[in-house]
Amino acid sequence: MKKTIVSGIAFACALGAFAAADAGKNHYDVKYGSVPNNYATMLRDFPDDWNYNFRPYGASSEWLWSDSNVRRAASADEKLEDRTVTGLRVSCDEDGFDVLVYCNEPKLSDYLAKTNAYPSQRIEFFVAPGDADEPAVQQRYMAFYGDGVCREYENREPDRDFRLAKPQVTETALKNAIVVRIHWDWANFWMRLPLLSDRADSIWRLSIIRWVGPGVTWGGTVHQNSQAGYVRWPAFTPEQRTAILKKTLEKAWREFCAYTDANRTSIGKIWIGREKWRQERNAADPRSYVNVPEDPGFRATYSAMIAERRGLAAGIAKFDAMTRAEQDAFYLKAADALFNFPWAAQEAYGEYQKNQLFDGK
Amino acid sequence: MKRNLIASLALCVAATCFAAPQKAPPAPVPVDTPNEQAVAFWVKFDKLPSVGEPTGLVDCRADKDGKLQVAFKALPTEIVGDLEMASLDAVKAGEWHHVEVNFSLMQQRATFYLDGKFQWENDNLNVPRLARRTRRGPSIDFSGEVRDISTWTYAADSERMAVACRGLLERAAGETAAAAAAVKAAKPGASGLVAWAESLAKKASEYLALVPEGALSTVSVRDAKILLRDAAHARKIAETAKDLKGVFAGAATIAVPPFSQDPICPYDFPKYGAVADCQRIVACPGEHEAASFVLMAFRPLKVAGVRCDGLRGPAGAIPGANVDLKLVKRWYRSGSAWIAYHNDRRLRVLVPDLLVNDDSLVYVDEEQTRNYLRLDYPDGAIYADVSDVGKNHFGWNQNVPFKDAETIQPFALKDAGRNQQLLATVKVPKDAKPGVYEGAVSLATDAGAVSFKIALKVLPVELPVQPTPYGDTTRSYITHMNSFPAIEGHTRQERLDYARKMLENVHAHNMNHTTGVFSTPTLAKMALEVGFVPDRVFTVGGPKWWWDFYPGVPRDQITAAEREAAIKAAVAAWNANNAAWKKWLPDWAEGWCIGFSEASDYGSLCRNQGEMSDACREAGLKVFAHGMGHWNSQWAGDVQDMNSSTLIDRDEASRWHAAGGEYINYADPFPGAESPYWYRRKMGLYMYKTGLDGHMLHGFRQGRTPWCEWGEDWGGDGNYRNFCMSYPMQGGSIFCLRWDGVREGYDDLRYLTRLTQLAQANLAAKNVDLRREAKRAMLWIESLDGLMADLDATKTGAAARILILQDAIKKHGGEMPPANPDYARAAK
Repeated sequence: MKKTIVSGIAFACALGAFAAADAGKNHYDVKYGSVPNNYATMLRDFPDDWNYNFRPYGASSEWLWSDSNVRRAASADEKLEDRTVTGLRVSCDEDGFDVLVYCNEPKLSDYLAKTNAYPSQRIEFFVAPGDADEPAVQQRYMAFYGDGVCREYENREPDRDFRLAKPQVTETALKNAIVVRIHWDWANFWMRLPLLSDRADSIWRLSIIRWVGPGVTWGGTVHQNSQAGYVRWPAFTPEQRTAILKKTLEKAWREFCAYTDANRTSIGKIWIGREKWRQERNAADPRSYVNVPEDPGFRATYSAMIAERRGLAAGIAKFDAMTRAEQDAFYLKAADALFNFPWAAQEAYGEYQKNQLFDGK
Repeated sequence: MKRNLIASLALCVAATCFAAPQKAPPAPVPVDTPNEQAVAFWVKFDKLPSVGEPTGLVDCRADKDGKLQVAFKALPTEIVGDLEMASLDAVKAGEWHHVEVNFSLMQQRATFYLDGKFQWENDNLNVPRLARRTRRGPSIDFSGEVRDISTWTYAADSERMAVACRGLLERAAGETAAAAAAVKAAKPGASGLVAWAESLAKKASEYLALVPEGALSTVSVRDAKILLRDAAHARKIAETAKDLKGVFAGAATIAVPPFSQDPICPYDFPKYGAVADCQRIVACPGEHEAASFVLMAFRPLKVAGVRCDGLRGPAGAIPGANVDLKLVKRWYRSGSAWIAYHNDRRLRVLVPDLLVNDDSLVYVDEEQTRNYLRLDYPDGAIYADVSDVGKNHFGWNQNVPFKDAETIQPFALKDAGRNQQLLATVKVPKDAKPGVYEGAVSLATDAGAVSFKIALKVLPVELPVQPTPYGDTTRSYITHMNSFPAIEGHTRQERLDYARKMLENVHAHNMNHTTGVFSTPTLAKMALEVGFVPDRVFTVGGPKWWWDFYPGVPRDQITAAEREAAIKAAVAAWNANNAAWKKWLPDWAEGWCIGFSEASDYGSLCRNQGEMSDACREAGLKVFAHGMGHWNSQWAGDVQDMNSSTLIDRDEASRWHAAGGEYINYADPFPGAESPYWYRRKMGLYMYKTGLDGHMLHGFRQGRTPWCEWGEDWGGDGNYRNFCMSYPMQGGSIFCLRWDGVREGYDDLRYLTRLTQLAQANLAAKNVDLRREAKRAMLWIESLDGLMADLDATKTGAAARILILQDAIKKHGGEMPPANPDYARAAK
């Protein structure tokens, strides 16, 4: 009987807690602004920007874990006993976007004296353009194991529409906390920049899971990309839009130049001999080529492809003077042409060789 | 008499189980339930906090600061109570705002948008069942106005609920008009295309007229964006088609690579490919090669017939029976569809997947996000909902009357702008002579004939039956799969036919080392006839544990001599009882036992597995295990002859090779994701160039949750999707686009293998030109980036280099090695 009463009371308590309102998915309004090298100062300088709504991992997340006292203490780097205190701040600038993760570690200051293991952070993070109405085919999912070790778990293969994302992940230790910085370059998402969204507000999915204790999460569980929290990108000013698009184009341009300047892909470094004996030999004895620019039959096509892209440099130079519509149109065309040049070149050479097969050459 | 009775009974059973394809039943009408709904309306509050409710369908109030509280009413029996949602943004008294809310019990999801902007989405998945509410209008005490209440019987997404502002409608009107003008200018003779573009401009004007300046919009964002989307597609067709090639009266054809990473959904313009009326493909005798195109309609289109009468050329003819035409069917799968095998059960993602002859076999409700299978009972066909999460999983048995037609059936494109991808797979006969063969896929539509030409170049190249690992042509690349399905059929002949059909399909997809194909003498005989090479037989049972010969004796007291005797006895017993497969296979067939899979402790991997392994090896078997991380290589490198790992790791491969072992992968990819490109690259060039010796595909037919991926996987070891590459039907399987991606990946390696064979044999050729050409071939293969090489270009490049090298060998007296050396004796 007693057991029944006790379990009944426990059940009622659970019901009471269970029936609490769902505070909703975590959401965060991204700030525009660069993160300094000493990024831990953001705790002190922008205390109101931090979101500490990390929830117990695997629970239904109906318990909202947030305490303003905790927030103040964290920003002042006071010693909080609860190791699971975790916060995040998301910002972006013309280069990319940053997720700073505050990880409370009350034993950090004396772990050596007490021979405790250094509390390396284990964080899994997931990001995908769009809200949960959209399939997450552009998702990025990776795990940080501390000491700069980061493993990507990409499910998609690289192609024209997907680049392998390699975020820069660093950490810095405070007295009783570790702050991890995850920086993604916009070049990884050049084809899906949030400022190009045509929706009323531009939302991406973000999940940060910190494996401390039983785990705390800002957005759902692993692999459940629909449960990720939402970040809402700012209404970018015209200057900010221009800065992001132009800088991304400049990166595309540099990548293109590096590719076309490499030994194996450069038409400048590889030159074709036009000697009569050479041409007669090739006609009599067809040969293959290890490097695409070596093939005289394809060189004109390849040169034209490169020249077409080199012509885009002028547009990048005067990008600031374009109207918004002109900028968007130019960006989409130029970024695709420059970032995807390796794919375009391979495809073109493949077509050329297929034509040779059909023509019996 | 008795025999006739039995035959009659069998016939009755067969007839009960499957009737000939029937006319498709009417589209199923989902049950109208409050648990799948969406509501949107314009509201203006006269004061804050608001008074009364603008509609009885949902509770909606504004507090003193203008923040909205919206609630779906739960049934009184629901413990969790009402579903309450709060806005982020504030409304102003006296201003109109558009409220958009949806709810789906199926997806455990509710969202709240205000003026098209995100406000709230549930984090707690324990959503209540809702009460039905019918009062649309405001409450008597409501202080304000409400207009244009829209409701849906499904959880319409945010853009369907949101209304288009005048700016968007003006943009739509402008862009559709510009597109119509551009289409007419570019392709004045394409009357169907021009008519489509002009209809879009007309519609955009109508929408704009519905929303005068200052008026509240009643046009959804989705409808406005459909016009923009279709106008862009029409314009792209007009401006990129060369002359009118690929542009027909009622549709366009867009040649696409069959196995890209771009999921072509019903209203997409393919990212890769171009408007064209033909496609060129290249293949070797005995190879299967696919062509593909997308048919995009300019108007609702009925396709009464699809056929291909074969391919012809100066060298001969390939019959129509060798061209398998299929429709690529899009249906709903769970979240992470297309790209991963992890199961996010909340989401429903439309993906291209099934290869079917009959489009009506699977009915897909694109509003309700449900899949239905057509079950053809003798007394009438029905559609069965296999996507209802409340009904959990649906198993399979051979009596379920679900079966595709034998040949491609009529289909329809219900809207202008809708597309359908078709796949034409050519089986090049083994004795096909080199040359160009041409034919066409002809479609008879109610807007006129559509023809898509296929030109096939058959190369004078003998491809090896099996690829080899990169740089080592002395052994086969492991194409292991778990496993050949259980044989189905009600009569012996049905079972034999089923087995042969499956064997032919598996072999055509290059999965030579599939577990189970040699498991009975009948099956083994059939497999050898079909062309399987029994160089490695996975997975045979090994001798029993030697210590079982000493029951009750503590193991630490058994002597070395006793151990040896027990192993001998175990091997002898095994030879007597379990080695039957050796009788029906050649004596060079190599049996492989599986050890301790997914173990991560030293005791299991090294000590216990070592004992098992010693006995297996004494019996002439080899031992492998599936292992995670680095444990197997660090602790069991002498115990196992191969590791099947979760990693694709060059260093791991080197470590296993150093001790004469082999290294394959079984987890990346797992089966389940729909993208054919993922399998083609990962299982093909990427693993090959990383130095792996092959791959094990961990699932073929059906898997654990064949149809409904959204139910809870009780008893499963994780939230995984269905681990399979095909789906069951009576008498066979419905195969998937990704399965052909596997075939293509291994075909890529067969080309690289042949090139390597030719090149390696002539690296030291006396003739300098031949020597250089051989070196160039090897350098080219070495330079291929397993992750970044264009796969189609790589295959073409390999083909071109093979021809050049073959010609050089013939001209300069070089060495022409056989395509199928000793390890593939059965292939000769």
